[in-house]
Amino acid sequence: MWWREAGKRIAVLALTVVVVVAGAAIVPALLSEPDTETSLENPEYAPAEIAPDPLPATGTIDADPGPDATTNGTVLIDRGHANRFTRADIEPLVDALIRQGFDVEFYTSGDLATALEDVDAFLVIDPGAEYPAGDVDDVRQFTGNGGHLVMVGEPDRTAISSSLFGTSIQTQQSQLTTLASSYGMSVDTQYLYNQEHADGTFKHVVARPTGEADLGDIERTTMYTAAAVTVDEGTVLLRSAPNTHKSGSDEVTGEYAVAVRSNNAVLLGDKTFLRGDRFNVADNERFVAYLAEFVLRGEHRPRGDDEGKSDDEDGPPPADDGATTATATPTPTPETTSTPTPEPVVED
Amino acid sequence: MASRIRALLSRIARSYVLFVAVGVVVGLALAPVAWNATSTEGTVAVVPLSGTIDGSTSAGVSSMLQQARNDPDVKAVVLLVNSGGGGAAASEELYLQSKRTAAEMPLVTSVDAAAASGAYYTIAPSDRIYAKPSSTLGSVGVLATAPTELEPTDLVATTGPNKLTGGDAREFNYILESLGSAFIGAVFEQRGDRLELTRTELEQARIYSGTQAVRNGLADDIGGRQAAIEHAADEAGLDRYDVRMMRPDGTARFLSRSNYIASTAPDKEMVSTEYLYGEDPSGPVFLMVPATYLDASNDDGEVRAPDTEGDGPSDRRLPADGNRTVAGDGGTPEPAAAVGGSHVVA
Repeated sequence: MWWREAGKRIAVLALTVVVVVAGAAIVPALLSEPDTETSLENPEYAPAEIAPDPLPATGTIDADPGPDATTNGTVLIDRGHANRFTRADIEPLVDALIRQGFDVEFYTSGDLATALEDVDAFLVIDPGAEYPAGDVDDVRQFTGNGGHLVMVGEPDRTAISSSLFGTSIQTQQSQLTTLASSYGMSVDTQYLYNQEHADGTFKHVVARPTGEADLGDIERTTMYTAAAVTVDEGTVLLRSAPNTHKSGSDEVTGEYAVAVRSNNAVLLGDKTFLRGDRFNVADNERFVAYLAEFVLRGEHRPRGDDEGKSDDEDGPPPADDGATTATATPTPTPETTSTPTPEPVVED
Repeated sequence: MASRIRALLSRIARSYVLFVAVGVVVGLALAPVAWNATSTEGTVAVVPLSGTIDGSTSAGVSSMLQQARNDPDVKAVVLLVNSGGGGAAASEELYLQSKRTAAEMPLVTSVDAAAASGAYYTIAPSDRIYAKPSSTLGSVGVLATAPTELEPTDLVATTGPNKLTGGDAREFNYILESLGSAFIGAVFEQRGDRLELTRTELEQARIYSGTQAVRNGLADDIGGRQAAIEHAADEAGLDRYDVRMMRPDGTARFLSRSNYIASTAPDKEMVSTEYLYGEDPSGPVFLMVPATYLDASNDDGEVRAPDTEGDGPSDRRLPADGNRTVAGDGGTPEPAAAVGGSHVVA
């Protein structure tokens, strides 16, 4: 019975294999030490702490200029001083004005005084060339006769352009000094930033009304890379949140004005918040509505058209507009008229 | 004669002399083992972290830290760091690895030339950070290229408006901000009580020298590698200890770029963003490096060498010269410049 003997041996072999495999499976489990790697607690990554809540972007521009405002006037937008803006930059404001019955025209070249004759408001956005003295006088005369002026500046920007001859880097500046200074206003060259109160990133600063002007129920607005603006004698409309820095001076913090008004002129430190994809972040749409109302209240009466010389609060009080050095007299000063008109130049 | 020899052998076999002799031989053979077992109380593992942190570097260093944690002989770890950071996700992985290591044993860092951005993220959990006066530390923050404003067209069709870009520029800033918050949160969690900087000061992302870092709490002491090793051994309670230099995977695969970067080779190339994330990334790329570590000229396609030696997806090359911001000594192996881009794409 050789097969019985063989069967026994095979059985022993199989049993041995089972014992060995079982031993290999069980013994390590018995010998192994308990797992010493404890799971990590990561409180520093708590989503509620590190994921910021975006500022809401809702609302529409609802301008309510009041019953005495011009509803069939015209706003002139400057295109004649190498201005840097796109349709998207101004579309929400233009839309609000048109809905109120305003016409929108562009100034590209020619005599500015003539162009301003039949309009009620003048919008100057980020000019790349300084205003020659003659143009400054034309605008002064315009606002002196009841026209409203909105100037929008920007901090210095670095523009990168590439061409066949390589890449060039230029610094773009808002050339508003001569025009704004005639109203006792100025635009800074550095951008503002705030690491605590911002829309997403530090350069998108939050600004709040000062209470010096009636801005309705605006709580906070956002400005996307803004310059500080100043006014000699006038009203600060919006001021940046506390602990705002100017670029290049990290240690110095403050609250900087980003929108100011002096009689018939308004100066802003940022154009980007007007854009089609930014105008309704936080309460921006209400501030844009305020600007639209300011434009709509412009009522330009050219010289000779004296009837109804208004008691309008925004009107041109020739006597009490003396806060600024250049008073709003219709007659230009002799030395300014003799100044030659410089070519528009983008400085680098 | 033969009978005499046989009698002698028989006597030797019956005596104890043979056994004593064999015992001495065996004992001598085993003595070194016994000597080693009793002469030191443990090992201090030195883990190098050099060059740009990308997915491969992160995998290599993670593996070394894991080996150190799993080795019962290793009682403390010293991180030897010379890096300006790298990809955000890779840096976060290293932070978690070093945090886990620090939870189990003393972790001490010696900063060589730089521990900036993502590299500082990595060493933040250390029990003690040694820096040299000329070391650079800090640059706590994230940078990324914002998505290009694109819209689906007839040529590129998508199922959703943001499929092409991932979202608009404003939302993108919030994503970037949350990455930065995680980074700053981690630094404060680990070193909050030692930092003399406020959150906003840290968020300025400045670079500090070693001496400045000791003053503002980003580092603990001025010292080099030896000081770090001694402190690590002291923390682990070791009077006699071995020092073991760890190598990724323990092999000599130095021909691969990742091991070159993970190695302690003395000179490293400054790299372009493309080098980190590969060509034409499909989404935003988040980097934790100081901007000075990115060589803009490397991004220019015209200066790239022709792909004469390229094969397959690994054919991107760094310019052979002219773009180095750290001088090489000629003996440095040039990295193979192959990079799998996706690992730094968050």
